[in-house]
Amino acid sequence: MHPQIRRLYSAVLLLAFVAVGNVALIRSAAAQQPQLTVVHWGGALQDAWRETVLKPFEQKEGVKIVDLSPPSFAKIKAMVDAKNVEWDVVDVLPQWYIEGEQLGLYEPLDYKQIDATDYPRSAVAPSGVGNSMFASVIAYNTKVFNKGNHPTSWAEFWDVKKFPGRRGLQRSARYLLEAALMADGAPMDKLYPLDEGRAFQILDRIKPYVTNWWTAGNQPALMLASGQLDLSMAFTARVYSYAKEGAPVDIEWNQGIYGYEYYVIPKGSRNKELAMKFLNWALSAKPNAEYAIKFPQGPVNRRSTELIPADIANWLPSTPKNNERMIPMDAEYWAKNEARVKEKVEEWLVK
Amino acid sequence: MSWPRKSRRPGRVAHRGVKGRNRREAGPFWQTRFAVVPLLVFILAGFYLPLFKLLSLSLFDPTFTTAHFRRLLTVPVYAIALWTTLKISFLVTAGCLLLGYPVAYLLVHTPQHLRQYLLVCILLPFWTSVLVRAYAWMVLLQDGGPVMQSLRSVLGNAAPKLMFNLNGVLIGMVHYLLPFMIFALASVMRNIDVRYLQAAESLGGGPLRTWWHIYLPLSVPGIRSGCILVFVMALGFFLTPALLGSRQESTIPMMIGEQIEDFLNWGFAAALSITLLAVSFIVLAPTYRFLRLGFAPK
Repeated sequence: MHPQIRRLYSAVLLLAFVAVGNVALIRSAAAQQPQLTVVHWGGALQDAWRETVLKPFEQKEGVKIVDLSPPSFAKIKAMVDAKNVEWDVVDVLPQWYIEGEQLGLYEPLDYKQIDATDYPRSAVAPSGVGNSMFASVIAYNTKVFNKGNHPTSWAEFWDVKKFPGRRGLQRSARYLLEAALMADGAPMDKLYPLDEGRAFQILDRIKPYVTNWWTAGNQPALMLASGQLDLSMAFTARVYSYAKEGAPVDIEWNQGIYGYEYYVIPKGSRNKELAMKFLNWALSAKPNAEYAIKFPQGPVNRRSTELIPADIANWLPSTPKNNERMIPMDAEYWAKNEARVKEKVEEWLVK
Repeated sequence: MSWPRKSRRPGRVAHRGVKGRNRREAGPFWQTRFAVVPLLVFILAGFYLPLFKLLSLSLFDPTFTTAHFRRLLTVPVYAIALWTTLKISFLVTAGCLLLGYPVAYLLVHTPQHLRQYLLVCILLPFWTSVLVRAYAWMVLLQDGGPVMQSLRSVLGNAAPKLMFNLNGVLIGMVHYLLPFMIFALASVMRNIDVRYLQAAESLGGGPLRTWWHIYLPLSVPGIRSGCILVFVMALGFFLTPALLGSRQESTIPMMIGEQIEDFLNWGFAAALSITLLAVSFIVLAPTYRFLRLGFAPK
């Protein structure tokens, strides 16, 4: 070997050794400080969460929090199956909670450590806790419609003569079938179990008038705000983030469909105790309220409502005057039926 | 190692070379051959083992079952999606070739100092994520957007819709995959000996005729590898069709993602993946013969 090359080799080797040593040192140091890995949905929502919930907890407890995104049901299952769980707290969709609990993917929650006295009963579950309420509603562009003149029910959303315009609906089974049945006048408190045959007949009527079948949660809000759609099913908090910036978008609460996102601790988490402590903190009145102010999904803690200003409360699905006009999504029904019904929806869509 | 220049069957010549004249130069048999072992192990463990696991996942759930494949065959939506996936991939490959060929030609036959700017133009979008690009196209192609407005001012109501349909999907995907086609073509075009073209011209061939009889046949290996590359990559797209397509552009990768992420039905997702893989093997089968030649140096 050429001597110069040999010198280069030894230099590289030396550097490599030093690097490995350093990493080992850093790792052992990190292992001593307690660390929590938490997962949420990213974007503006994650920033709000970090600021209002994570940072104060780090300071209070002297721990380090690593926040990742997005949650993945598949990853949770893979981690639990492989007995190598790297996530300590994950925000999951309601149907993931139900199905995951049946599969035994989550740690049972210790409600001695988590003070649930001020949570609504519906948010408290054996191995998951509802943490913020979302809602899927009718949203519209205010340049085309306005407060006094817009579809106020799914029946009116279906009425393309009275309310002409480019429409968007979610490419999913959830929400879509509920909306169709309500459009046909099915009573709001007796939707489940869903009459699928009837729902598809009603969907046939709106099909030719749907411009966009959206898939990503942010998509309808963005398209309404930028004038690509006039009318769409959309998530309230996403619409709010555009309305707040002055975009011409608004929502109708009537016949909205709401549900909880759940916090879960994947089974086998190495920081179970700290995770319980974190849940108790995250759902206590103050952080729960501050998070809702930044990203208006309904807080679960009853005492947090006092801390929220009225203009934000108007945008929360949990505020009574909004909530009483909506229906709760039956997560259990969807955990059992979603795969089968979604296949039918896809089949119906390509026809 | 340098290949004998005039050989048409370099594989054989190289083999003879190792055994005979070049033996001492290349080292004893075991040294040269065993150098391949780590790579072979890597390929086996990294590619074939997971593929085998995927196959077993689609057939055992947990005991042997053909349920996943039966569902795939009996529920028509999957056959439709498979056809859509193949159709989109074909059209995207054709679009990339049509647009990429002139660009690759320009890239290769441009003076050095201009080539750099051209390269930057091609590479800049290459570094942007597929999601950002899809959203950017949505802004450009929307109803009141710049593209539709100028189209409408020229064509009036005959202007075709460019978003939320097949057109949108094709525009988005061709845009994403074009650089791959251009580089595959350019790498071959760069090695075309210009003296052949000069010879053709000196014998009275016009530019079009020279291109057709000399340049095009010499660039065929690039066309082939570019098309295979783009086609195979196009088979895996799910974001662009979901964002820029209509309800009819549902592709197999979209369904695989949903089965893995939302329904935890990994067995069925594996069956969908295996089917897509098998179908793409069948579709690409006619190119295998050429592919082997493609590795041969000139």
